[in-house]
Amino acid sequence: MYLQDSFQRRFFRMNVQAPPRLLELGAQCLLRNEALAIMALEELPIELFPPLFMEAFAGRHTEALKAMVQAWPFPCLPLGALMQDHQPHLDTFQAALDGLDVLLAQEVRPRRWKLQVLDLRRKTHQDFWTLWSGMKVSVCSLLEPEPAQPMQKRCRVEAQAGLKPEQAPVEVLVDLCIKEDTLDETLSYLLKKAKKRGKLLHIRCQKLRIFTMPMHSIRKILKVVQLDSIQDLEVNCIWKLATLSRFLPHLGRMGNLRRLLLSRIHILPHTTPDQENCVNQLSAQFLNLPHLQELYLDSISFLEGRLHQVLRCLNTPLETLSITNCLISESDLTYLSQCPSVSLLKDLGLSGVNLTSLNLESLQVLIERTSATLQELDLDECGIMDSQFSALLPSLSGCSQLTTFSFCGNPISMAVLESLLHHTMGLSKLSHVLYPAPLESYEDVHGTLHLGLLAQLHARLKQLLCKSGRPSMFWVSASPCPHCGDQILYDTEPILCPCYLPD
Amino acid sequence: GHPWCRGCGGEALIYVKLISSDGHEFIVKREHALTSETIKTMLSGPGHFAENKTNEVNFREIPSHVLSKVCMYFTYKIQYTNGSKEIPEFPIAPEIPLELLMAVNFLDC
Repeated sequence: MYLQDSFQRRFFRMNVQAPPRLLELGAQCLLRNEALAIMALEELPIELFPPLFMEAFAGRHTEALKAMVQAWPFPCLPLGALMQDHQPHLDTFQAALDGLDVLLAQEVRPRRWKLQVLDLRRKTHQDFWTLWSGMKVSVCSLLEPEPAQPMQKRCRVEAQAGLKPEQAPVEVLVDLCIKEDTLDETLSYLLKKAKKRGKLLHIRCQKLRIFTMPMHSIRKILKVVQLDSIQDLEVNCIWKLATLSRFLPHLGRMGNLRRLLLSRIHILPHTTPDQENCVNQLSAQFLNLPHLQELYLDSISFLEGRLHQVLRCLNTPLETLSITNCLISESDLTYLSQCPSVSLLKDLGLSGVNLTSLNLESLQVLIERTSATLQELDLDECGIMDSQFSALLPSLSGCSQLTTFSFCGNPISMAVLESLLHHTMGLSKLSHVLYPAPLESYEDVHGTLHLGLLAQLHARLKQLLCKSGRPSMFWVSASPCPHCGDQILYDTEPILCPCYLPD
Repeated sequence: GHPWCRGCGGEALIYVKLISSDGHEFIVKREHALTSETIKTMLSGPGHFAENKTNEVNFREIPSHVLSKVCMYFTYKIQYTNGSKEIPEFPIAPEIPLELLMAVNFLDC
C-alpha cells in the first residue's frame, strides 16, 4: 500500500466532508512546477517547509524533495514519522537520501546548512508533521532531536569536539531489523549511501534486531553502523558457536549496550578446545559492555556448567537477568547466588529451566540477596516440586519490592500454595501472582485438568486472600490448553483458549 | 451607519472589509472570513486590535491578486464543508502560489 494522498486529504476523507486547507492547495499548486518550487525555497519562510515537504513526499515530487532536504532549515528531519503507516515509494525515499548526499558532497558547508539529524525511526516525532501543517507553533520546542541518553550525548559531544565544525557528520537515526537473505530496498539504499560517504554520514541505530541472516551479510551491515549507538540488541538466529565468534568483535564495540538478548546458540555435543575458546571470547566481550543492564540468555545450549565462565566478566550490576529454556547445573546456581552482578536485580527469570533434580538452596540465597530490589520473579516451567518450593518461601517473604510473581508449570500442591499465600501477605507491592493449577485439580492418572476442581481451589485461595486483607491481589491460575499448549488463564471464570471456542 | 451592515450599535455585523496592500477593499461575510484563524483572533479578541471596532482589516503585506484568491477560498470552503456534493478542484493560477503560501502562512487557513 503506497501513500497516494497527503496526510490531510486522507484525514478529511475519513471524516466529515470538508475541502482541504488552502495551505495544502497552495503547496500542491506550487509543486506542480517543480523548478519554480525549488527556486521558491530561497524565500520560503521556515514554517512553510514542513507542509511543503509533506506534499512533496506524498505527491512524489522527487526533485523538489531532493532540494528541500538540502535546504531544510531545522536541525532534525523526522522522515520516519512520515513513513510510519506504509512503506514509502522507493523513489521518494531515494530522493530524500540523494538530497542528503548532495549536501554531504559539498566541500565547504554553506552557512545556511542546518540539517544535523535525519530520523528514520517510525515512532518518534509523531507530532512534528501534524503540528506544523495544522498550526503555527514556536520554532524552538519541537525541533531538537529526541533527547539521547546522557552517556550517548556526552560521547557524541566529545567525538565532535575534536572535529572542525564543518566536518561534523550528519546522523541518520534508524532502528534496524535484519532478517532473511534480502534486505529491504530502502535499507539497502541507505547503507549504500553510508558506505559512500563514510565519515560524513553516521548511521545511529538504537535498537537492532538480528534474525536469521548469513553472517557475512550481517557483518557488512554492521561495518556501516555506529556500533556505539546500539543500546538494545536482540540476536535471534540459530547459530553455531563458531558463527557467534565471528560476531563477537562487533559486539565488543557496542560500548553503550544496555540490553542484550541472545537466543538459540548451539554447541556440538562434544566439547573441543575451539569451542571453549569461543565461550571465553563471548565472556570477554562483557568487559566492553560497561552499561549492560538487561541480559537475556535463551536456549543457549552451552550454558550448562559454564555459567561462571560466561558471566565472570560482567562488571556492572544487572537490573534484569533472564535465563530461559536452558539446562543449568547446581554449580551454575551456586555461582549465580554469589555473582557480584546480581545483587541489585529487579527482574529475575528462570523459566523453562528444569530445576527438579537440583538442590535449590542457592536459589534461596539468590532470592535473599536480591530481596531489597527484586520486583519481578519468573519461575515458570521449572518443574519445581513441593519440598523445593517450600524451602524458597521464607526468602520470598523478604522481597519487599516484589510486584509480580509467576510460577506456572510447576507441580505444586494446594497446601504449598496456601503456605505461599501466607508468606507473601505482607508484601504490600505484590499485585500479580500467576500460579499453576494445583495438583489436586488434576483428575486421574492421565493428569487431565478438571475445571470444576480448579474452580473450588481457586475460590478457596480467593477466600484466604480476602480474610488476610488482600482482596485486590490478583491471583490467576494458568495452565496449558490440552489441545494446543497455549496458556489458559483462570480467575473466577476460565478465560478459555480460542481452540476451545466454537468457530 | 455603514451601507454594508445590517445594523449598527450592538448587533453583530455580518460583513467585514479586508483591505489589500495596494488598497483594494474586499467585502466578505464575517462567517466566511472566520475561516482564517488569524482573522478570527483579530476580530474576536478583547479589544486588542483596532480591527475589532471597525470590522476592517488591513493586510499591509498581501497584494490584491492574492487576497482576492483567499476570499474565493473562503466561499469555496464554506460552500463545500458538510455538504454532500462532490468537492470540485479549487483553481490556483500558477503565477501566485508562493505569494499565496506566504499569505496563507500568516492567515492560517
